[in-house]
Amino acid sequence: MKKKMHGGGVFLLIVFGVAGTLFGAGKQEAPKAAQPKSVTIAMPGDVTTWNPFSRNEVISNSMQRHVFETLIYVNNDLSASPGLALSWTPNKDASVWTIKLRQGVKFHNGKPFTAKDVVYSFDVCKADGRGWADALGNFKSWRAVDDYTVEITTIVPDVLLPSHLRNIAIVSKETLEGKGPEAMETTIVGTGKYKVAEYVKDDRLVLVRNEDYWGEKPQIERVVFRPIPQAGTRTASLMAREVDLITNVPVRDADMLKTRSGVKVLTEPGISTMMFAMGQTKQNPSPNAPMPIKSPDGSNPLSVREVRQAIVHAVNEKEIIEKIMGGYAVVAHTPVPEGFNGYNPNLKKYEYNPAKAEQLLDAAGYKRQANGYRFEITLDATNDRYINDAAIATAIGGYLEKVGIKCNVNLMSRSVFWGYIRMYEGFKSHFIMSAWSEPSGESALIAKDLLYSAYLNAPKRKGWGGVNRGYYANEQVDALIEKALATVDPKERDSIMQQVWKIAWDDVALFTTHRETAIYAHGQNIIYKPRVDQHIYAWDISFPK
Amino acid sequence: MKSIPILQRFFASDFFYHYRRSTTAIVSSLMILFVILVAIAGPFLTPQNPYALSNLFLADAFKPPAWLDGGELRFLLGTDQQGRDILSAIVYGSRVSLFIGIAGVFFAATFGILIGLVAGYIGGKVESIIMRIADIQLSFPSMLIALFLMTTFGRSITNILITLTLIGWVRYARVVRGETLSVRKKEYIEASRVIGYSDLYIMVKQVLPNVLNSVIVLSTIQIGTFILLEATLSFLGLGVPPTRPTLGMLCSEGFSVLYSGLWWVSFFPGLYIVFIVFAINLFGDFLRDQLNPRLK
Amino acid sequence: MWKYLVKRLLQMAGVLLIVSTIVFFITSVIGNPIYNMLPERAPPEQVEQVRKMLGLDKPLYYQYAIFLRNALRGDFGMSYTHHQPALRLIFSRFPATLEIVIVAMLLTIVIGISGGVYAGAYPRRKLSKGIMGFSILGISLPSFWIGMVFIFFLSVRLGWFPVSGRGETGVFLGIRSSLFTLEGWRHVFLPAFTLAVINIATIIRLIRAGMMETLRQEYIKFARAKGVGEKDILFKHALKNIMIPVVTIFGLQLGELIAFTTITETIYAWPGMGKLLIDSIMNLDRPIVSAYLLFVSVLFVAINFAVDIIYTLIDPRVEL
Repeated sequence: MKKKMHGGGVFLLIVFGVAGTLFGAGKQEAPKAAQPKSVTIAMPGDVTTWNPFSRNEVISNSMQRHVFETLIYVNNDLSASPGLALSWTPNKDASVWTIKLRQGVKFHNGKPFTAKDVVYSFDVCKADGRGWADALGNFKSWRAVDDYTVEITTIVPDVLLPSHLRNIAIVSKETLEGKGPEAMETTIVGTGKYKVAEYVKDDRLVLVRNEDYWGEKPQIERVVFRPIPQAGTRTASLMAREVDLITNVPVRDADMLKTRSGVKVLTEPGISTMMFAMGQTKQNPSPNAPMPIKSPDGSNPLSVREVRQAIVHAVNEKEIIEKIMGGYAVVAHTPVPEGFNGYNPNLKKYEYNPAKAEQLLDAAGYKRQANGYRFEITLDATNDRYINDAAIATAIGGYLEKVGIKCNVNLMSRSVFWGYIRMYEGFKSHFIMSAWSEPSGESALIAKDLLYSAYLNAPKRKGWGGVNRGYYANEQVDALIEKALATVDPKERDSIMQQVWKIAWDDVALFTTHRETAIYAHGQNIIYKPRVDQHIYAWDISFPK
Repeated sequence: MKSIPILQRFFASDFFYHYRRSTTAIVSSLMILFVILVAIAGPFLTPQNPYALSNLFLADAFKPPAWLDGGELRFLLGTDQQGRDILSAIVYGSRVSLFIGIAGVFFAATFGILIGLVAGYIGGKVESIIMRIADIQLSFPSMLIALFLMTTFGRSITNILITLTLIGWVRYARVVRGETLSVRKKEYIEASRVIGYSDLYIMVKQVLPNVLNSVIVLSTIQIGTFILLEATLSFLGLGVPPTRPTLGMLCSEGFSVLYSGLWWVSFFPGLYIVFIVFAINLFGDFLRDQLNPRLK
Repeated sequence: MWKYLVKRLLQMAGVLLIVSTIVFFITSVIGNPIYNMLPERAPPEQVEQVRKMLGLDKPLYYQYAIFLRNALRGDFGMSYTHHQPALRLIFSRFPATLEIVIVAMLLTIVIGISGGVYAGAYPRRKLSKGIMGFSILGISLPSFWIGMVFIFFLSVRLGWFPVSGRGETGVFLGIRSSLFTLEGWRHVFLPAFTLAVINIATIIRLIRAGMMETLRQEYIKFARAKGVGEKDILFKHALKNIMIPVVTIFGLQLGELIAFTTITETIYAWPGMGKLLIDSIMNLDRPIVSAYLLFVSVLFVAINFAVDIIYTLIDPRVEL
């Protein structure tokens, strides 16, 4: 009897399932790509938070910027154009900036946009401390002069202050104040080109065009973002026409999609550069490393310029690009992408030449010992952060081994990596692989983080040289970076910065290998123009005439 | 008795009689022998030392198995993204996997037997507390406990062994305690006590031999379980460090390229895990039938 | 009975307290979540600010007190990465996990029991040998590898099943589930089957062993002599007798299933709570990790309790 009841339960369950299936009870409408003026975009993940201040990564940024706007817009060549701000003017030494705001702008809930919203947004961003807070690092204070004017005072004069204003979203004070940070997750109200119509976490985000938008309205009326973490599924979804545009297409799928009709594959070189920091202090930079530097005489070989140059010569960046990146990357000679202010076209990565590397190492006094090795170092890298990071790090280790440098490859999960390599704290790292990108188009800001002097125990100057993990120190470079950041004229700044990169590259302060190429694919029903910063915006999509 | 050499005694035993007549037992023990031989002799046989970075050439990356188009004989089972020979990687990986399985069982057994003996022999409060802990732990899936412990400890071979010990002791403790309880009541133990043997002596000399059969059976099966558990943890990125890949780690690395059709990178290491664990389980089944049919 | 219930409830509370203590102290040791939230260039003051904001600057015992107080209210804090209450996130992912667990359990019951009974009743037949061979193979398979093999051959090569993801959901009787759409079933089947393989193998072995032992007993011989049909002997007399160990095992297996969803969901990108756990571990999202562990602990304790209750229903001789 009991047995039967058990079976009955199972039976009922199945019946419900089948009934539900047959009647398609309340079956949810799959977003159809065919709908007029509607576009479905597959993303590799969902927006992690609707708090626009606390997370800085491409997926969240892309989706949030449809709803929230910033004071200054970024054009695709990384130049600036007015957003919620109409103009931004510095005083003479660029220590006080006056921002004039656009009038007559309304939030999606009808509340007017004024200077107090800007002040509030800055306050919240600063208080949050995560994500974008460091964009406000040089802001001493900010205040509303009147309803449509904001004044910002800097800690040190900053001619590049507007580049930070591109990243700070403006939220509505009246809507959010006093409701705690959690309110931002549910009350998603901005001034942007789109409004949130429906949001189901990890399933879909439906946006509709903001018909009251202050500027030119985009062509697309309805945008659906679908988070699809598996790359293979994204590809399959595009081929099944469930989505119109996919991002982060894997290399092998890209080659396959190119042969399909009705699908267009786009590539756009990115600005994120894979770079390698070399701890170049005379003193041992990593006394606590589990696998420390070992050299015959106990010195730090990385402190010798010629050794660093030899390491660069040993690395075959073209083979990495071709074999590991499948051809979808370009050689990065410096961390400065072409087109940036301060890009120096004459600087090249030391060419791949293992023989020359061996020569340099011999000359530097690190001859091969009985075991065939000259000295031993350890490369710290992630295995789950960048595309193919483990393979790239292992390849680098292999190249160094081939010129007689014993190179351990210490792969870590990203969950421990950032704490492990942190400067001034653990003293565990002397050779680090990570990527760097700077969306402002200003190489002075790259240099400020990567090149400005840092010493083993403390930064030379607070907040500067924050990612100078090789502890490169050069007074002349410091002075030039400071000068560039106080030079308003872009031409002049460009020439100063070109000089900075020249000096740093002569010193082999660090080296870079490649920049990933972003790969997109879309159906022929739309036209898409990818962005350098890899953000996905619906207003970059149009319909063919 | 003493004069009969131990081997001769073994060949004359019931155990050996049944062994000779069981095809599964013979086949599975041969499989295990093969695995052990490969692990010991492997490094001298493989075409490549997959961990000497100077041996890896990117030009060899993603070669398919030799019998497919584009395959090469020197890479019988193909290569991975770094031009590493999959066959060699499997041989090296199996060494680490086996080491973890066997060492894990050794520590878990030692620890568990000790606790079980103590609990069974001393009895009283100590026993009930120990057994209560064991009960609670058993009501949680070991996979989840392992996941949690590895998250906390961080990935390393030592930490895996600690984790396996903390997971595995329970079964030993229970079995040993049960046996100890029943042995303790036997007359000859009473007698030993009367004669004046110390508790320690009695436990080691009289009780332990009685639980040996159960421990052997349990250990055989546990080795397989632990190898699987380690592989699973490594697959999730919570097991061995990526610089010293085990079979599970190799699968994990191959998973990312599976969708692109590069199946051999993850398929063969997984197949070898199945081979190893299958052999162990087959043999474990046979052992259990012979030595202690009551054991689950 | 009532006395037993109260005793059990107290025991459950005790277990949960112990678990929560262990969970708290151990999760506090895991890495430093702050570096994963901050920009790489963040200066020490900013690190300090976020540490304060998350309450991580306080002494451990103080944090523990707050953790316990909030946990009692079901509040495990805000997820560091998702900025939502951790428990709410777990709940929102739970239905997806439950879907594959239920389907896997059904598969286990249907295939496992019939296979086990057959192999136990006719141990000498070829098919029984085959079933047993499969079951030993089944317990030797790493579940992630089965998943990969299925995906590659059934999805990528043959295209019979979708590669991953949950597919569309339907609403029936107010419940939103993939099981109410055909497309949903196509998505559910592979993850559920992958999850079930090991369980099926285990259950077959147990039922077979129990069956063989029971069939040797006197009362079965007696029933046979009396002329009771073979089917009735197997399913009424013998199976009923081995129900108690089977129910225990099912209880344990249910726990195993839930634990193994972490792997299955990772492979199939199934948006359940197992995948959430793995992602959270990688992101050092402590609130989610501790909320998950306590949530499943409650689940397991409840399952054990249910198993005990079911005992009394199957076997009147068992007293609580």
